[in-house]
Amino acid sequence: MAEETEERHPLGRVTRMCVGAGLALFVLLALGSYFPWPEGFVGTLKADALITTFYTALAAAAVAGVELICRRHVWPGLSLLAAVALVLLAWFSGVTF
Amino acid sequence: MPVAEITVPILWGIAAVSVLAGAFGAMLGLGGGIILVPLLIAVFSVETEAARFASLVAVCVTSLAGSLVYLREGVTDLVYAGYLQLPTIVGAVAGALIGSRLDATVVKVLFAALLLFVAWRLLRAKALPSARGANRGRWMAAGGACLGAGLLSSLLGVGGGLIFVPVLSLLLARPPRVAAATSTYLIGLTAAASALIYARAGQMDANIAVPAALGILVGAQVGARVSRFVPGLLLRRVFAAVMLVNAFLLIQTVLRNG
Repeated sequence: MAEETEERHPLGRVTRMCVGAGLALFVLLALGSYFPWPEGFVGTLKADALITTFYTALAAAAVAGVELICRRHVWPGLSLLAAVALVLLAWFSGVTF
Repeated sequence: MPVAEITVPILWGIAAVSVLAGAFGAMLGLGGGIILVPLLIAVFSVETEAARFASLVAVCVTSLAGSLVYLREGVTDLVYAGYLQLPTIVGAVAGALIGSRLDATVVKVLFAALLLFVAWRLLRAKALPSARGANRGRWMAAGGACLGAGLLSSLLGVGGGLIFVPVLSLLLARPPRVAAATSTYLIGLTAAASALIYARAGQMDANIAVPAALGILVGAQVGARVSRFVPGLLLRRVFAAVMLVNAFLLIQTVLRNG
């Protein structure tokens, strides 16, 4: 285990790019939703902004999982990918009680 | 609160409260949902489901913004995050499925109890000895705690940082800053998972969630910069006072409206 105060984790370069792009898109869409667009456009932009954040979190986790596997951290990588798969499964299947 | 009732002053009010929640959250290393949810319910009469969804979106955005900085600095431990994310998501999905059927009054009461517990912990906080290493038993305990964090996060619309940070620092012996960074990363997917299920259940209100997320994003930036000038003890006491006031407001709402 590395030194407690000095440890650095070089993983996550691609994940960072993914998060940055998603966050920028969210801010653009969210701020854009308050401009006087034609009728009916605003609601779409707001919902799109929200969905962007969820997609970004999912994409960041998936990319981090692949990044971990590529760097030979196979089990944590697979765990992240399984978490993403579980979210997608719950979402698309519309599972409910 | 129905969409038609949202006026411009209410919109600004939600944004202002979210800035406050984001600033406080960032100063204490939390997502801010624990402040935002009771204020949205008690001050703006937002429905519990809409407040919870707005908070989850705000937590997700805070996580993304914080992770961007921490990943750049290389302090987020993605290996530990990888191991802990799966039990957290299992808890979050289960919590969202239960939460979408749970009565709003139960959610409010649970939230008030959580606020009182956090306030008590903050006022009686003392340093605990951290572990020197992580063994199998500690990993099992961490997995169980993360399952609980996911459940709590999706039921109440909070980030779960209150559990992740102690798990990472005390159980798994991560340095405090690494624990905060990894927790920030973990709360993002957890909040997104719950929010997606609530959106599917028809509990998404973009008119409240968008200003809340933008406000908390701004507040988190302010809080991160201001935190170094505020003494830790004073911050804990002020935060505990805010928690107590929020708990009182929530209990009042339950007694008034049920």
